Amino acid sequence: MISLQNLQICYGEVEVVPDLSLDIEKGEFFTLLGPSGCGKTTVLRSIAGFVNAKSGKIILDGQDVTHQPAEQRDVGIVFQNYALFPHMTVRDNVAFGLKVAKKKSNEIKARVGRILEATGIAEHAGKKPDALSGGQQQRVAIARSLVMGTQVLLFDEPLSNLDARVRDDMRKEIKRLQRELDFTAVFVTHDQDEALSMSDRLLVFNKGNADQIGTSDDIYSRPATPFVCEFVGASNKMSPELKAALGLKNKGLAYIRPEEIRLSDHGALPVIVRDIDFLGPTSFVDVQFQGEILRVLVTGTDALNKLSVGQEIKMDVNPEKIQLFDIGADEDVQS
Amino acid sequence: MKMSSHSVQKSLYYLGIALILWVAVSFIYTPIFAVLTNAFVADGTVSFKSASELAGSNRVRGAITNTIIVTVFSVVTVNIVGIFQVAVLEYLSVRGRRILKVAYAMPLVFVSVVAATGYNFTYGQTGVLTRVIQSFFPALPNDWFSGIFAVIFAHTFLLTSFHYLFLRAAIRRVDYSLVEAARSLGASNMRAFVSVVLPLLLPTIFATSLLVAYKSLGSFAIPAVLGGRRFDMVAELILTLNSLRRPDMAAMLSIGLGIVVILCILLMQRIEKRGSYGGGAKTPVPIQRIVLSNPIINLVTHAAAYLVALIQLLPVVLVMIFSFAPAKSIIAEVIPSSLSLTNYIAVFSGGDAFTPLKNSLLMGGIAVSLGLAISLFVVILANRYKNRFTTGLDLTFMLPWVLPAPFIAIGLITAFATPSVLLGNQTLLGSFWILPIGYAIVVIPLMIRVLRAAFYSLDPYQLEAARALGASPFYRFMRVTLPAITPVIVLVAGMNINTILSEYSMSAFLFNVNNKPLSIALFEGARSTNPEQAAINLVYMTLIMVFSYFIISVADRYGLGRSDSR
Repeated sequence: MISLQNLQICYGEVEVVPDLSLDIEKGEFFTLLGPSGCGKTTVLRSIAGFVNAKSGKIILDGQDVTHQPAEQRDVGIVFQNYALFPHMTVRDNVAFGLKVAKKKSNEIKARVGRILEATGIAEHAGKKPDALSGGQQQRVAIARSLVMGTQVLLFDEPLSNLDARVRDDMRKEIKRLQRELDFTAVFVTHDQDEALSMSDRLLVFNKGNADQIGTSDDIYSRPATPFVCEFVGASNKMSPELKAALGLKNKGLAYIRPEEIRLSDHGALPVIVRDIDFLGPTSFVDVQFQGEILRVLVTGTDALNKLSVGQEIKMDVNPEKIQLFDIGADEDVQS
Repeated sequence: MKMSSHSVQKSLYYLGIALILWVAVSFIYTPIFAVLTNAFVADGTVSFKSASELAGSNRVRGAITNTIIVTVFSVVTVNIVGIFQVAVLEYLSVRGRRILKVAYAMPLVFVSVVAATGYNFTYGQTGVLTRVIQSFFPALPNDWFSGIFAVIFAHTFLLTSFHYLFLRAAIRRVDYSLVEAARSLGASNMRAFVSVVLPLLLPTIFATSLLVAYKSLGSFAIPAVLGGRRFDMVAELILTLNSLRRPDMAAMLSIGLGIVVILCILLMQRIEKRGSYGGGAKTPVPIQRIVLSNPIINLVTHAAAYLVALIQLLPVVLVMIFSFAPAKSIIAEVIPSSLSLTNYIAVFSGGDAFTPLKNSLLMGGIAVSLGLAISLFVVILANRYKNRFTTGLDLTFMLPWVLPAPFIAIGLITAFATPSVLLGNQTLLGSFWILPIGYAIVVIPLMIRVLRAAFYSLDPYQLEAARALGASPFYRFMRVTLPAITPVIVLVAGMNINTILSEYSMSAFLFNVNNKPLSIALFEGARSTNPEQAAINLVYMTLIMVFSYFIISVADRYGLGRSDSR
């Protein structure tokens, strides 16, 4: 459906994306995940046609669109703020593209009516965008693109301005619409929870490079690089002392997730409780092992109640879940 | 027995109230009442004689027709030039934007009588450009640049300041992702501009159009200098009627002008209230300039952009250069053969040449001091006690904002042409004081608006903190409030002195031998054929522009914008 081949993007002298190749399947929910400034939005905007590639190709549905202007690409985009035209009603917003394409008025009416029904906003058709809730605005933005018959929808961090509770509902809403209306979604976010929960597959960006492409489980459980391991989910970077204590011979970097450490009175390694972050169903406990602070996930409140700051306790580390990398411990994984 | 500081404060407060009431009655209500009685009362009974006489006069009808034609044309042409300038500066990818921006900003410093004189110096009878064109086309008549054409031309390139200030700000608020959204739905750049950007700018365009109309309706200096002897507009005709000893007709005409101006302002406030579309973006995408891919359109756009810049820049540059030229060269040469400081020395060495500048600075200083004292008192009072009295006081001093300068001037003239009880049986007309008082009335509304905004933006917690620490109201004002608003006071003073230096409308009505201001000297200089006078005029114009530039730059830094000068 979408294929990027050796894509290179520069802003003036600065190379933002050096060399990216990627295939996205039809009907897939694909996420570009990475910290801010990593180039993920740039890639999305180049697919939309707002940023020119310096070299490489963008293939949409078998057609090379690399040098086509945005208005000819047939790609929908849902902006961070939805970019609904504030002076038009919902109906006019949705009809905009069809009018530009000079469709007949009865066809416009029929298609707009169908998509408004399908996205559940038919009752708001006569309202202006500022009279809608965030969720309704999002549906208008999606409907506006889909009414064009667009099979590809690009989402540029559409949930980043919302508070946590609304964001959860919106995630489900986007996923539901994508399943029901069967479009291909390319979703940009810096929020790992969002990426892991929504995506069929995701790509983790690190300074314009794809560090890993895979399913949520691949990315979380089998990170390809130290950067992916640190960026997606919480991780404890293991000190040489801890590795020695666990009998690890590996000279590169090693990580362990907080949920793979157990605290008990009968564990193998002695630690001191340094801090307790009570979060409800699961909480974080910081423990000190030979000068190194490790973060441990504790489930439920019973286990937590037995702990106090300064207390000496023991811990076990699940050896099967240690992530080992060949890269040297002195190399900066963020760079 | 020694009075406590509290009772001293209380007595001062009541003295202040008494003074402010006297000012309101004497200089706002009495002049308005005088205009109304002059217009509608003859021989002790209500009469519409002056109205019917006005209606019967060909000259009045001509002036009204001229004013309407000039206003309608100006609104159209200023919008064409203004919207084009904003598109060039903010929406299109045009080379040399920095220099274009400087040129397009000229109407901010080149205003009123200074601009009129500058245009006359460039395009007028002995103007530099007229001489250049005549050297190629000797058949060009000397007075080619006069009458209604010259007035509309000058308006077109001098009233774009509202577009420069407000429309540019509005287009910057348009979220560029709206344009991208339109393009992703298949719209071209042009279609996106017309269907999405322009509708979002419409409220602002409408508001700036009304401001242009407001300015054109009351336009005085430009038609007076450039219109020629057979061309009248309403403001100038009011002055003429007054000098023909027909204050009743002058008053009636100024009421007519006032009503139209008030309608403009009411309409504008309605638009402001309806608000404009901001796009609502929390993180708006900054606008990206559109590259014109069609080479012909691109060339034409560049050519037009630079032509407009040249028209706006040329008079300013010529005035500045020739202010350093020997007097002889001013009416003879196209490029001065030598440059010196002689003209500046002539102005600053005192004597006659210095008098108008001295007068204007003195009267500006007096008007601004009086205006500040009154405005501060009104704003503080309205801020502290929100009741009918303070609201009424506030509205009273805002009244001159909706009244055109000729209306207020005719009011002052007719109210104080004879000894008045309100002034201890003194006659104001013909005295030095009438003009600074007129200036003060004109500047107070802007001062109140700016100071009110400054008071609103004060952090209330600071005052509560001072109160919690035991500071008295007076102490809080002196140590917390005043230091916070001092920069605003200084700026608003500068902005208004700037306005007064080139103020023409009020000056033309109220000046006399005791107080001839700079703007009148400039106007007279523009009509004189004496090269020495022309040289001094150029120095004045340069000085006013430099001062304006300084004040506007500082004001811009503090986000206060430009004073709405008449």
